[in-house]
Amino acid sequence: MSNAKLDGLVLEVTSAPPVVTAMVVHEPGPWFDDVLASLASQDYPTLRHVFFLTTPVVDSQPDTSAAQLLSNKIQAVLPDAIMRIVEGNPGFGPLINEMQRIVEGDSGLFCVMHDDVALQPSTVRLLVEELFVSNASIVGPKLVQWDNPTLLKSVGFGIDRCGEIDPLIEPNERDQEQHDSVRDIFFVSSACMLVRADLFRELNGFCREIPFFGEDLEFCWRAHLSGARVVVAPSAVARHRELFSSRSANIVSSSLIARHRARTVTTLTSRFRFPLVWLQMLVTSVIETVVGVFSGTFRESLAGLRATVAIIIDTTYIWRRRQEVRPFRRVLASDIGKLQVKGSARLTRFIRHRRAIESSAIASSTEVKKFWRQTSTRSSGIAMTVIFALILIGSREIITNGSRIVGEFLPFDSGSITSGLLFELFRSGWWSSGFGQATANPTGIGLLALGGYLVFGNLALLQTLMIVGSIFFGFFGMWRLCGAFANSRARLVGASIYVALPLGYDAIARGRFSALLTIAALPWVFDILRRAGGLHAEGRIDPTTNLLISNSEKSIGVGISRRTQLIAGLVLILGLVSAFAPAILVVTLIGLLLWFVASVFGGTPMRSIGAMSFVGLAGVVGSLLINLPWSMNFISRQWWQLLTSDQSVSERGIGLSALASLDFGNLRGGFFVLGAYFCVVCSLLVANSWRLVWALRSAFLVIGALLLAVLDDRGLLPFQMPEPSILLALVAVGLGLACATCVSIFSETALSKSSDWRRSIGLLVPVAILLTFLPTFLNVADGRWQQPDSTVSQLLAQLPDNPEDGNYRTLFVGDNGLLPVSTNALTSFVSYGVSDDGPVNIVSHWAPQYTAMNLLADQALMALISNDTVRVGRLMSPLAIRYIVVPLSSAPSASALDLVDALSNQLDLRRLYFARDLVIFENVAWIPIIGVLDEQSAVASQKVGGSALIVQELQSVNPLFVDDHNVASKSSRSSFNGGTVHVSALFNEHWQLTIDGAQIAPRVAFGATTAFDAPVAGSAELHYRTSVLRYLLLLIQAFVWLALLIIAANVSRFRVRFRDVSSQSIKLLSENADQVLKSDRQDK
Amino acid sequence: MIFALKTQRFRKIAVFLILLAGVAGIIIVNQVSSADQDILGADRSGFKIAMPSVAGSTATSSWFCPGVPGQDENVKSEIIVANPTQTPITGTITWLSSDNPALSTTLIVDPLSRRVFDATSGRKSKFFSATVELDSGQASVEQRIIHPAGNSLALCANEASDRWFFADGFTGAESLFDVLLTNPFQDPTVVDLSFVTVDGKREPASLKGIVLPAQSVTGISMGEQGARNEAVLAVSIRATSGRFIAGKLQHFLGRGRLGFTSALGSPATSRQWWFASGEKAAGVDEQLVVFNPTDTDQSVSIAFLTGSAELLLREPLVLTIPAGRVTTLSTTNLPAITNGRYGILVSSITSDFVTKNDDVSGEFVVVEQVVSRTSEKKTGTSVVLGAPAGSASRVWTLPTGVATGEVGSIVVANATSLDTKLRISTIGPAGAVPIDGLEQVSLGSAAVISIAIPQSAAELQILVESEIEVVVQREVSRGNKLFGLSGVLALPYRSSMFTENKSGTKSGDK
Repeated sequence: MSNAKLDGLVLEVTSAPPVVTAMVVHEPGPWFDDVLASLASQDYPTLRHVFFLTTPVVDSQPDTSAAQLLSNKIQAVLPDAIMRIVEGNPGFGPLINEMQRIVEGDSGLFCVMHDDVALQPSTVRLLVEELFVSNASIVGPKLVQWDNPTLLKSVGFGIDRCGEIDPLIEPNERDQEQHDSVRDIFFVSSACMLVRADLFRELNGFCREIPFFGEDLEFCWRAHLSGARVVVAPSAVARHRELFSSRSANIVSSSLIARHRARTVTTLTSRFRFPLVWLQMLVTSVIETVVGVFSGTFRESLAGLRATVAIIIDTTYIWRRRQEVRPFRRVLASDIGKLQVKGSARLTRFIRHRRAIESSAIASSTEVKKFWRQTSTRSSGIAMTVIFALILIGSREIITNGSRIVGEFLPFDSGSITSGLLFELFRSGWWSSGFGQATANPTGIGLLALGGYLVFGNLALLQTLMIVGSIFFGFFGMWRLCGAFANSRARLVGASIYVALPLGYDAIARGRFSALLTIAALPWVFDILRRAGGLHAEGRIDPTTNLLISNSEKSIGVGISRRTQLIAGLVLILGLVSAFAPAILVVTLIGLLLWFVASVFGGTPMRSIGAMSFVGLAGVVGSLLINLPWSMNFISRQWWQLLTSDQSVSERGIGLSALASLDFGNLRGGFFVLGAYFCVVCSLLVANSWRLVWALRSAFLVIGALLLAVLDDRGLLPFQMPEPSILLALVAVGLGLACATCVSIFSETALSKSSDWRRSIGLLVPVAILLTFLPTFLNVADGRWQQPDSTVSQLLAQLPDNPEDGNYRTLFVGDNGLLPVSTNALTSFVSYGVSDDGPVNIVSHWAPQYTAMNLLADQALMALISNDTVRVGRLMSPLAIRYIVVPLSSAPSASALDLVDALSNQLDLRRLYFARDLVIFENVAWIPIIGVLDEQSAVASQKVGGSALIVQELQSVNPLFVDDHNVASKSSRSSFNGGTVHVSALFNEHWQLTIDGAQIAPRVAFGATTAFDAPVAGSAELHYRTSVLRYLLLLIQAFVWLALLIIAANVSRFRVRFRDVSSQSIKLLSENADQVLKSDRQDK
Repeated sequence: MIFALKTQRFRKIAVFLILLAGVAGIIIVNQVSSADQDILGADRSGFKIAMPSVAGSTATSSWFCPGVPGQDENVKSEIIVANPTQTPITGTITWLSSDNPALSTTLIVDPLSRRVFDATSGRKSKFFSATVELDSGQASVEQRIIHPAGNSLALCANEASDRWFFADGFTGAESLFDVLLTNPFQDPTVVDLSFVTVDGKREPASLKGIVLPAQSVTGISMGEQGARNEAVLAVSIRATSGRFIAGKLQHFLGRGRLGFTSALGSPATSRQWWFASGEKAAGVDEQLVVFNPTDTDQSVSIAFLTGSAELLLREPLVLTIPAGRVTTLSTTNLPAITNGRYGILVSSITSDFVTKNDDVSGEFVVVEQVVSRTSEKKTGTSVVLGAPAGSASRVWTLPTGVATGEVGSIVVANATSLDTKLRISTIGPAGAVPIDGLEQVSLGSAAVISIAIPQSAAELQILVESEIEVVVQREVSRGNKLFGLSGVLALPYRSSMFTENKSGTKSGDK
């Protein structure tokens, strides 16, 4: 590089003020010769030039070779030019600000320029003249198009109160001197801007936090605030190429532009107007976002909305920036307002644009590419809107009236349950569902409590959101996963197919909450795996042509911080879902294995596969860890059963057709889904290059998971798999990916390939996809996805709540799929679960481990099934089981009928309700959950074994603590006349009964439950003493969740927003980087 | 480069083969295992024999006795609880009656002993019935009525049923025929009763919707219900709600029948019925009463076990019983049968090629054997319900022994085509001890044998063990120095069946 010798430089003595052009040169093209030539041809006498040459940074080292060549080139044209080679490209504004350091003196002028602006020979002179004539501080030229100077580019800009820019001219407006009068405008483009040096110094140059896009608006706005005048001098003309995006695609960002605009408005608007202006921005951006769905400007509109909302995060920055600007506020806000466009600049621009479109000459110049992009986005937006509308219409009854209580869809707000109560349960060291156990409560209860607080205690709303929201969540997850195809249509089809499959709706119909959550979460899991493997669409796009590269799959490296963020995200997703449905962990591991095998065969780099595997495994392990201490529950001899919610069902007998159609008979037209399998075959046959890898992934997921489901269905596996609805979520993901692959193939290869046999197959793909959509359409009309009209829980309303004769439990027994509570398997065909009196609620979703009380129940039920007893009621009396409920399906199984048969033979059961779908028996030998035993029963309670109960019928003298709360939360006191208090809860030393303050030691009763031999009368109080360690563990758990949330949300990106740009030191690589240019005017 | 291409091609082939294998696997697994599942499903379908039995190894057992009269001071009724084990058995006995509330008490039966309880609990009521619950599966319970017209031993049911059948109900010569309906449950049971006479099926409105109050016994005199002086009278009782136990009390007063008998009804029809004690002799009038309670005609074959399996199969006697009718076969008049003892097998052949267990497939027939022995103008009538299909067992017990004052005998029928050895033991203070001379009793295929039990052993519990499945029937004296014998089946053990039932469960996992 050759630098001008600047020491002692004195500019030519003339009356003309010295002008120093400042230009940032970034990877220029051939047109830069014209730019240099135009500068060299200027007729202004005291003109000097300063160039900032950016450099690419490779491996943290600047590559100055191109900059050196460029420097030589400039010097050849402009020998006196000053050049500064800069490390990287810290931004236009910050570099131009360097002029304050490079040029000394305040009497000169700075002409800020882009490197793609070619001036006419008189441009600088005319600008200076106009500056003085108009007594302006900032003057801009008329910008015309580079290739066709007869078309206008800019004659200055106006803005409205929201900072929306009004270009004042129509797009591609022909220059017929209609704008050739000098006029005040709000700002001129930094493409060519003449500004007084003193003003530039006073305002401290461009905003440091705006490296690109918007620095001119912000600077001019501040200039207005300080009382300076900004005018456009149309007599001065410059050609502007303005194709920066093609040179630096990664810098151009709609979100960056929107953020700078929002920041400018919020920092420079007066504080009195600010709230109203922000509200206006918010409303406008919301409307624009909605309109953008249809107008093809969704992405830009969404960026505007995000920027407006993000003002909240930027509070610190805005406050500091306003403090900095305050000294320059010399003009009244109302005067500034007069300079702004009345109404909406966007609306004005739109109207002007429509008017321009009417001109065929202008319309013909509209870029075809943009048109197609907009058309694609618009059709996607419309399709998405239709799909969302269908989902909402199909779920309308659930949205308006809530879900029916079917299967695992237990009401969140049933009985006296509140967010506070849920949180209290969560804190307790007593897990109250089932027969109860002294162990940590499920994390899910805590999450529900938290969710309840977030929806202001409306737990029913939370449930509806979780049910209906799961469908949308799954859609967006699949949308993100299909982002690998970098094709809006492929993404849309993939996501739409995923939500159109009957699996999710069948889960709603049958109340499979675990399955629904898994279906919602699984695409996100795979998306995170994809990102962890660096399988981004961007990695396959040629930066020069902006087209996809057709070669085998490549992955881009993922940094440690990004990987950490992805792991945190995966841990959170899996942790959240596994808190309700632990089976997702098993499904994830299976999916990971299939994904791994497919990627290996597809030729994905091992580095990428390794990263995906690591992240996947870390996610699974991490999700278990963040569910501690509850997940300690899985450390058990029955860990697999607990993890898979295994009910030891040996053969489900669902059948291949039902499994393959992802429909278990609850929805209409499920068999149409088989059409989607055509896409799996088609994608395998037609795909090549990187798409083949995706076809393989989809095929492995579909075939692998379906094979496992069939094996499990036929009872041929040595272990139980998660229920088919959960396992088949893998198939659903695979089908969605297969359809997206097909669309990607046929939509992207259509323009470049001639017709061949693959194209013929492609004709069938839309048919297959449409067939897959059919079941959803057929079931929309129902309004609640075919949920049954009457449910078991509704019929249970006839059971008494808090009866005077004591709290009790209800035993649900029969086919696992029909039981409304979490269950324990008894045989291959019979499961059972229990709930306390009152309506069942979501707390019964989780069952504790197998305890000694379960052993009692098992023995009683086995005796029942084997027809070994006619006194099952007595056998169950220590368990406080008053009602035995057997739900029956429309086609009851033989085991269910046998069960009813056996129950009908019991001498101590009373038939309470006998219908085709439900049978309820009342146990006449029951005793309350907490009650005082008579003398004989107290003696019997010291025995172990059911045979003793055959002979001895237990009798409770009177119940104690009859209320809504579970056994561990008895806050009330009861008067007590002495005797043996029996608590039908698993024995634990933490149980405390106090009689008038005197503590009674508990003992084991019936080999499992708890009893207190209390000979004294008085006021009794019972509670379970939770360990302090439990609270400590909860605190740690909360901290870990919060930390993961922060990592996953990448809060550091907000830190970047706060960071002062000036702290990013601009590193000049010139040899004489610290030399200065004196620009003080010397009068003759 | 070439190597890379080859590797890529190999990889493609491999992956397509794997995927094809996966698809094939899905289809094959679905096809192959469907058949297996059917088999499993068949095994799972469950099977209960339609007669009482001793559970064997279960922890508890329950017994529902058919009922006794409770107002006649000349009649004494007993409940006999036998404990063949080395440990005491405890339990409860609950007396249900037609007039009084239920009464329960705890009972203890010492090891290797028997205990007798008053079946009326010392109270007065028209009818009584007892329910006994024990903490042992090896205990057994029977009901005995000591009646002036002849003592009668009756089995007690293990469980209630929603239907009961009686093939033989005789009201000729003003004979008494009372049907006792016991409801041991906490809920009322509603039943419909219909009966069949020579004129056909009758369903009087008064016998529809009979409410059996909870924990009570209801007696229905068939003579008073329009079935007077009927030589043929079969009864069918079906519950529209709930379950119950049905027994019968028969007091024969003429028309070839004299005596008293009580018995448990049949809780189900069966495809096969076994009778161990058939006899053709002078003064013996034997009838098989076949009741077809179904809506379709039933054909049955009747085979006589005379010691020759070939003969058994060669010329079976075939009868057709019209739907809802009763057919009576007098074996005395059959010329093909020679004098002597024989067993009888009555099999339904309506759906002859059914491979699954017959009782599961549908309803068939109920068969009772009526034997009237006459000598010197003295007649003694015995009515025995056959042993239904599946009841043949290797172990039978006689909790009450064979003595009601005089020496009795047991008759064993070999239900198979194999020869076998029998061992007859008594259960006393020393445990199970074989009776002298009865340690190894040979029994040929398809044959019957009548074994006289010595006086010294007749009072004790008796155990009959065989190498193969047999059917055991008792023949005891009617007491009161009355002529003739009273027949009743022994109690089979069902412990082997119990094991099969348990195999389908996963209790071992717990």
